[in-house]
Amino acid sequence: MISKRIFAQIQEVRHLLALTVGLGLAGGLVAILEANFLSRIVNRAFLEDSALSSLTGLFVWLLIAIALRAIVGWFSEVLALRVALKVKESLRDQLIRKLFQLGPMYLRGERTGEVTSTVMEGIESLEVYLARYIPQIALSALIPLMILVFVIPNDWVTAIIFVVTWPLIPYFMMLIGRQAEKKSKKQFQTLSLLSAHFLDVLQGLSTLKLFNRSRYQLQVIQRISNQYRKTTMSTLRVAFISALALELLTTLSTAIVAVFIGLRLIAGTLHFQDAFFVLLLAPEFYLPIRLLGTQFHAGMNGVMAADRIFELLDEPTFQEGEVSSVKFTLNEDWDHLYFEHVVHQYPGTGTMALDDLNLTIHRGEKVALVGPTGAGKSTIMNLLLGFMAPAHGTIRVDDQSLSPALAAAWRKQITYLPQHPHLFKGTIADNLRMANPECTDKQMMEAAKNAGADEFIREMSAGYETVIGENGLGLSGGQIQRIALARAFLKNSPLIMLDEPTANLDPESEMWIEHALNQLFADKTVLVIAHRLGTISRMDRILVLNEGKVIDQGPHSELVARKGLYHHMLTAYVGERGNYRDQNPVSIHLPS
Amino acid sequence: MIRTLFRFISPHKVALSWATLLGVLTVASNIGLLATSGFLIASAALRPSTVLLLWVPIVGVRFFGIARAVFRYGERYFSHDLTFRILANIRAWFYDRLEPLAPARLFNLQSGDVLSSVVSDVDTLQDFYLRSIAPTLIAFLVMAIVYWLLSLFDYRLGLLQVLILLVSGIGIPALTYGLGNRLGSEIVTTRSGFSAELVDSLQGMSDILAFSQEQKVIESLSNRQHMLVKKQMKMAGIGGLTGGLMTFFNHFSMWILLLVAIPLVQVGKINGVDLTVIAQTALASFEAIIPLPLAFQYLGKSFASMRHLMTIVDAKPSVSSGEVKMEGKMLSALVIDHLSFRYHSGDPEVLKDLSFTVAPGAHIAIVGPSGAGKSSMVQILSKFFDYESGTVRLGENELRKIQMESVHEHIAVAPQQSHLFNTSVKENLQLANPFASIDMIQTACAVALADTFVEKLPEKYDTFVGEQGYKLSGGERQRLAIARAIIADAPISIFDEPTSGLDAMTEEQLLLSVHQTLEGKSMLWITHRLTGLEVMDEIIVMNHGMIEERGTHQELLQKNGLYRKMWDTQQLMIGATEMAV
Repeated sequence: MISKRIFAQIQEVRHLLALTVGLGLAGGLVAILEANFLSRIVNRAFLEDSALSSLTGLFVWLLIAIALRAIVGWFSEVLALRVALKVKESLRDQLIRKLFQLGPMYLRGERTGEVTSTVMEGIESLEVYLARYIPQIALSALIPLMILVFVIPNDWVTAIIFVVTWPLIPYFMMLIGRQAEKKSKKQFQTLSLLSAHFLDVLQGLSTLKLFNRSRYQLQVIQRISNQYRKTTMSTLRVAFISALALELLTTLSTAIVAVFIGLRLIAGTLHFQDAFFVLLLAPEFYLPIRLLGTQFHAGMNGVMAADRIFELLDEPTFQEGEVSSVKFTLNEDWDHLYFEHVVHQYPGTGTMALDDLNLTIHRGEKVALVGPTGAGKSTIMNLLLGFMAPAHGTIRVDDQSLSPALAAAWRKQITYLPQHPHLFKGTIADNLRMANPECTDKQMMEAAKNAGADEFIREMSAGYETVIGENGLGLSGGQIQRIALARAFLKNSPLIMLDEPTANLDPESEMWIEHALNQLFADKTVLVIAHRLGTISRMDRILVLNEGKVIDQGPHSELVARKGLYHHMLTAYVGERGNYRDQNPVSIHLPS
Repeated sequence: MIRTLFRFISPHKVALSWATLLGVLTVASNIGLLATSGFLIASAALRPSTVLLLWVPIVGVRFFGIARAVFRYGERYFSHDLTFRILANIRAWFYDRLEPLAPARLFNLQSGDVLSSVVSDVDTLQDFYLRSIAPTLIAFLVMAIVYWLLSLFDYRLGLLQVLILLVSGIGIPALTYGLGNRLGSEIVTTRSGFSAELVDSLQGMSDILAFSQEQKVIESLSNRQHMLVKKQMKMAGIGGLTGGLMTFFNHFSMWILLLVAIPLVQVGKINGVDLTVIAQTALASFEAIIPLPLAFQYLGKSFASMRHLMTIVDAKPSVSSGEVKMEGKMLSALVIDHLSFRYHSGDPEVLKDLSFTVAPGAHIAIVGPSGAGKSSMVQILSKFFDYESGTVRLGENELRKIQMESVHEHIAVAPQQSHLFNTSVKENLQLANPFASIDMIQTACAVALADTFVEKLPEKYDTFVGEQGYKLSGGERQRLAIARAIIADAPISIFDEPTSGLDAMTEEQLLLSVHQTLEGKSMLWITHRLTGLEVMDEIIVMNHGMIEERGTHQELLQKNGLYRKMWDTQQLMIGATEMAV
């Protein structure tokens, strides 16, 4: 119920947390004072016939106690929330840093959504846990103790009732709480299942319509909703019994206290003022533990969220240390890149992404990677970018092993153009400048001109200051590619890594990209996942990959002559009239 | 809008009355418990001659003690049941209103975010009763009870207490609203801005790292969060103030009632015994008021959610449903004659004076670069949009005048973005024909080249595909969409870019396989890749919403037009396949 890891986080704010509990205790003390003044006032007005005028002092004290109670309540609430906010902020910062250490390979696939919801909602759900549940754990033990201290001298019989009944509450809470917790978890799951189903139906509405099934779905929604209601209610019927038992325990305790006091008042063994004082404190005595009970659920949610958060924080990174602390000197005048016996396998797949790969790239050499899907082309790129580390084998820059710690420094040597470059929400200038924050406007426009982007950028409403949406919303695929190319010109690094776009771009973009790549590649080391014959023909060497291995390499003409996989890939597209068509094409099934 | 909100509740008047009544009784029992226990000890303090005289308050105390718990149980039970019923009503209502609008009026909603926000709006509304209506009703009914109870001693006490309850019940939420409303909406905007930047940064992480911008991005995110936290801290102050004021007025009401009551005891209008009852009643009655600030906050949220949903469903359907019903599945010609179309008036035309015929049994390919108008044509042939000029005839009838159901029986479409539901492969395919046997399904999958990978799934055709089919790759999803269209067994089939996630060889095989299976039926194959099109009866090349050229593969190659240009570009590409990771 209490996450140890969370407590470690609280260390920094523990004095604030202690203060929160202290204020809670002060609130309890004021409540006792209030009960004291109130019982004295009623006692004197009721049994001693005192006039209002003689009670003025007590009334003033009572009002002061009331005001204090309100103010203390206000402060402790604010303080508790501040503690929670501080812990949340620090945890969220840690998570974000961690995600950048884990890198893009961790986030591939559908994970971004889940991770975002952990960082946003998951952390948010810690608030109740931190601000209410944790202080309440302390208060639910301390306030009853404090009340006991005041009740024992006044009325030890009631004190005994308190002492006997109090442990029953946490006992019952544990006993039925566990069961109730399971049930409420289940209820929560059914509810989210229902929502997920509804979302699924909404997303598939046009598909449903195409097959004339959309009207029918209305009945399905109603039927499923009712089914869920019935099953959920049958579990809730039982789950609510726990709440019933708890409620019964506290109300009956108050009732028993009242009856016992009443009997002893008749017997004359207790004075009314003490009796009323004790009666007023009875609800206050049980209140903290009851509050803990009501926050139990939120507390559990918080613990569950915390589990996921720490799971993420504990995710092993291949990059040791803080991202910021990566300061490694790299020989910028490197001559060779080596892959030596590199083996890599993605978790959860049975096949080797790279299988004992050996590869040397000389500085200034231009190398193309070709091969079917799953051949290992992207894996080579991701390894060389330092987005992940190989399972076995080494990647070296001359004699320096490309250790994870070196990755950030190494990336300064690389310009990487992914197949789908990401444009960030913001101005076009921001998106260009990220490649070289110190560049002048003139340099930026020069780069855009080289990439064939200057013209269409100027035609936009605010030119370079035009704000584009997430992922380049409002730009065509060809325009996004050209902006990414402009970034590459701005960075101007010795090694260029490119994953060529496969999409059908408009003819103008095709022409510009062709032209720009020519310029960009000059005097550079180039590694490209190539799809266009035009690009391949500019390369010094072509590596043909299949199932994680280099199965052939050499210049274009040699490879075609050998009639292997490379030749076959060329013929796949080519119709009867094509240059590379074989008389009897060998039928190879490429994995898709 | 408010009327619509209440319409979800009104069918459940009985359940509603029970839940509210039990809620009132729960609070009333607590007042009863505290008041009778006060009365009990005060009476006992007067030391009556026999305990029997205290019999009534003793029974009362025990009764209220038990009743409180039992009523609370009943209230929770009924109100949860009611919540589920209301939720079912809201879902059904929203779906009923939304369905006729799909998909033409919902195009801008297709993004996952908008639909998720719709679902969370619906979830918000389910608690409209539980968190807004019930507390308000209960508060007013309890006030009436409190007035009655205190008037037993003196009506002025009742009036005073009700006045304080009203002032705190309305005044404190109003004050919170006044202080926190602007800050609250600022927090919402800041939070969603932060969240958007986070998503943007995570999605673009490769580029951020590649350009060594990680420090800057982390800092920017951290600063944004700090702004959010600063606002949340301010909000915490307002929240604490609300709680503090509530506590103050709660106890202050007891204080002032005693102040008024004690002189009344002096003059003999009230029994001294009753002072404890009055104090305890004042303290306990606030239980009904304390939830009100949250209830009002919730009311605001509910209205916002409702307004959002209304703006979505208040649109008018864009397609007039025709009356003509076409019995049976007759193979008939599809004639498109001088068709022009634009999505909104004022927008440029996406289809311009388009004419062609799909003769019964013809297999036709439509090709062209992206933005040529191919998909818009599919939207019209699916009867998802009305066209403004020209005609589209299916057999004898104008498409506009045919019932939507009949159109879909005659034309099966494998759309570019086909949705797979979070259920089994089999059920996803049976969507096209609920009575399709497993044999039919297997055959269709074989045609769509989907059988090999389905057989490899852990439970084959009974494997669940996950949300939006995420357990499958893009190419696998597309092949299932093709199988689905084949199961529909319509006279005319349309495949819209069915192979964009496949490699060239698979694409060619797929086209041949579908082409052979649909022998004798009509088929439209829409693509931007020119693979295997030799087998088509005619190829229509579209560009800028118009037909640029048409003919067979051989004829088009010889024309040296756009087709030839696209063909030549394609020759220069190699092994374009779906992304590896």
